Amino acid sequence: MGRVWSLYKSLLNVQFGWSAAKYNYIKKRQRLWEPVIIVLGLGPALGMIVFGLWRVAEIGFETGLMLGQPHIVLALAAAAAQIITLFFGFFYVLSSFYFSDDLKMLIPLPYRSWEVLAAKLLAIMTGQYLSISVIVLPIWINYGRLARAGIPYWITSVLVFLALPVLPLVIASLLAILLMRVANVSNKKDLVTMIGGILILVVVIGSQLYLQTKMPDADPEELLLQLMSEADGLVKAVGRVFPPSVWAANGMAYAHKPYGWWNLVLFLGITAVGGLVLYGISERVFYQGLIAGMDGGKTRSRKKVEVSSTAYERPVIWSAALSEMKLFLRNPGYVLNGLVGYILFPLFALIPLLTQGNLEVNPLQALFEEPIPVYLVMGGVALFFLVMTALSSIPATTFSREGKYLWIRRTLPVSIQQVLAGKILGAQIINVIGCVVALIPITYILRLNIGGVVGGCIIGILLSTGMSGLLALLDLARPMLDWVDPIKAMKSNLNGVIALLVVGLAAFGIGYRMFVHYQRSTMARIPVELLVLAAVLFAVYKYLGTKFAEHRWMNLEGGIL
Amino acid sequence: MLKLRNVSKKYRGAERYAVQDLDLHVRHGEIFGFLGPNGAGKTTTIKMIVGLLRADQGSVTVNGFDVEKQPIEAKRSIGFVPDNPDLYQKLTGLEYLNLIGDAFQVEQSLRAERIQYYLEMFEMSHALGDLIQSYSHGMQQKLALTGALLHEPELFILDEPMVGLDPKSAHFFRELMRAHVEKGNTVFFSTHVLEVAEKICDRVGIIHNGKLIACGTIDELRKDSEQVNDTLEKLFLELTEEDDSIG
Repeated sequence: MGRVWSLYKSLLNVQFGWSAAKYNYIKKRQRLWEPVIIVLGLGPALGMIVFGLWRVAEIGFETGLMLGQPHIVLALAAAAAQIITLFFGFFYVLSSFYFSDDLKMLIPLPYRSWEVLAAKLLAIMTGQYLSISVIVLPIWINYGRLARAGIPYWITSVLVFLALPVLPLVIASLLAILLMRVANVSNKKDLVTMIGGILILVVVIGSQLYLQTKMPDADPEELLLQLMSEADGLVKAVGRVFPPSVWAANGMAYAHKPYGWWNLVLFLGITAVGGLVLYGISERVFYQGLIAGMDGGKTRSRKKVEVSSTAYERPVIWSAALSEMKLFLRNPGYVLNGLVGYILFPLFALIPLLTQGNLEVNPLQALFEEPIPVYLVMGGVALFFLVMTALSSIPATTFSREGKYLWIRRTLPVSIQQVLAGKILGAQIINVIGCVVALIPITYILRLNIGGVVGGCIIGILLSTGMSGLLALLDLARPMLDWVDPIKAMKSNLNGVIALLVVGLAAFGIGYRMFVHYQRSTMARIPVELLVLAAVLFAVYKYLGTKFAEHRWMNLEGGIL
Repeated sequence: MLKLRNVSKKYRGAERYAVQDLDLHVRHGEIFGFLGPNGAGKTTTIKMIVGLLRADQGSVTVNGFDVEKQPIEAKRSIGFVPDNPDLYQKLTGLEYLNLIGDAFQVEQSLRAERIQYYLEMFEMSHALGDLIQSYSHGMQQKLALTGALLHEPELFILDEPMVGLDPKSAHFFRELMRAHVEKGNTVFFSTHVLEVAEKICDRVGIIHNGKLIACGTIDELRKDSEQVNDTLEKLFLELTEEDDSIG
């Protein structure tokens, strides 16, 4: 275990960049403003989330108490944490197990495969504890306070918290290992990984959504009565999304009773069984798949390329855009992370079609009854383009993803304005194609006005282009260039979070304006306001691009060989 | 062709200068070897010439263009190969060369001709359509060399170019450097391999602790140190040790 611990500590150091932070902030005393900005920027947002969940616990407890099942909030928090861990864990595991540069260094070392896997999984798990603690702790602590829970509750809570991310990560690891076993023996490893990964996500998320919306065809009041009359009926209904979360909630809520102990044993037992299955699989499959993948990387095409017909001359910006797209789309980790939103949105829209529930159970169907006003469609579609710019993380991580390769662009006789233009164009081509493909089923299902959708696409392209420019400038201001695992440039990059916060705030503001115009019947102003916003974004980008980008491009010192 | 005037660079948080008061003039049509022990300031100097680092003081001009004030014009004259060329792993060799060719606006037929020429010389035409991630270290080095030579740069800058090349490729490469200067271009390269420098350099500069401690032809260096029969290796050791004892 000592070897696993030592490897785990090293991986954790790389994952959180402790040594790098110590070197930059303490030894070199540079970029000291960064931690201050991070605390000032994320602190209030985190505080709001914690406060919000604290209130959710209160409301959930009171409502649950009236229905005789106050511990429904415990199950809700556990289920949410486990689903989030399963979803994000899949990306982390895939990236850490198969696409990380440190594997070339770890494989020749005398580690058993389970030791590497355990250390990597522990490192991912540590990150997940931090994420889920934001969701789970405010709810569980407030529940304990409100229920005046005794010591057994708090002890059980700690045990459940420690075990909470294990099972979803084990499932994510098993899916990743099996996927890579298939992908690594094929000639098109990256393509199979991408398609397989997307399919797995669609099945996992789709089945969760389906389970949540697929209610029995009964009167909603009858259904509620049935759930209330059944012991823990509501808790079980919540737990359908991830069944072990019910055991976790019952284990905590009834920590002082044999029923609770039994549930705790079930929860910890299934977690342990999952761990053992992963151990068995890792010994047989993990290294084989990994090494097969490394072989696959060396396969050469036998076809000789005809240089005279393939050495094209292209405009500099188009050339930069093409390379931006190729470098993004050929990395399965980037594709799975960046493009998943374009797939999930239509999936969300498709779910109501798959379910047969009535309007009370499935309020989305109300949208089918009345056509949505054309200007609202326009605004909504434009907003979709804007949100996806941030959600895809493409512009907000464009320089970070270059990492140690950034020297190439910096030594070329190309101005930073051209580099930015190429990167924005590349990001926007992916964004526009993704949004349009996602909008086709949404337009059909929600019977959206075609004119409104087309108008929204045009405004959305203008709006998201300005925003892409600003997000690319943000990444130029503080690129994350020193990564070992390329996926870190996307998933562990604060620029992606800042982008989501900024665009989230903008989307909230736009949504509010749309609501106001809807109420005042002045919806024709929506596209005008959005066009003005697009012009403002573009003007700010032009100003900063001229004033700041040149200076920053000349003074970058990270990622230079 | 290349002028460094009073150039200094100190990294943030560092106690001493990486490069200090460096004056250097590399002329048209010469092969200039930039020598020095590890950590002497060779790579920092090269990074300042190619625009990857900004000098704290002094100026660097390439072909008459100030690297800081006219970076695009200066970079047009430069072809650069770093010591460990990390190339985009998810591009094919040809896509990488096209990216470089587009940036330097190399005309299509000329581009195809040069790609063909260099890749045949390096015996790697067969791998042009493969992703760079499948290349060996040496192949990536050769691809980087081809990319840097694609626009026939007036100033060819290389940081430790012989690392990773097999003997045959290294031999071709030495000939290629000579052929490049015979066309009126200039080659500036750093190396640890003193034997190579002795054989092919018209002039050498020796940098130690960030300062240029010697510069000239090998004969001139021998005369200055009054050791007429010394090899470059001996001269190098004497000069750097002397400087250490003064320091």
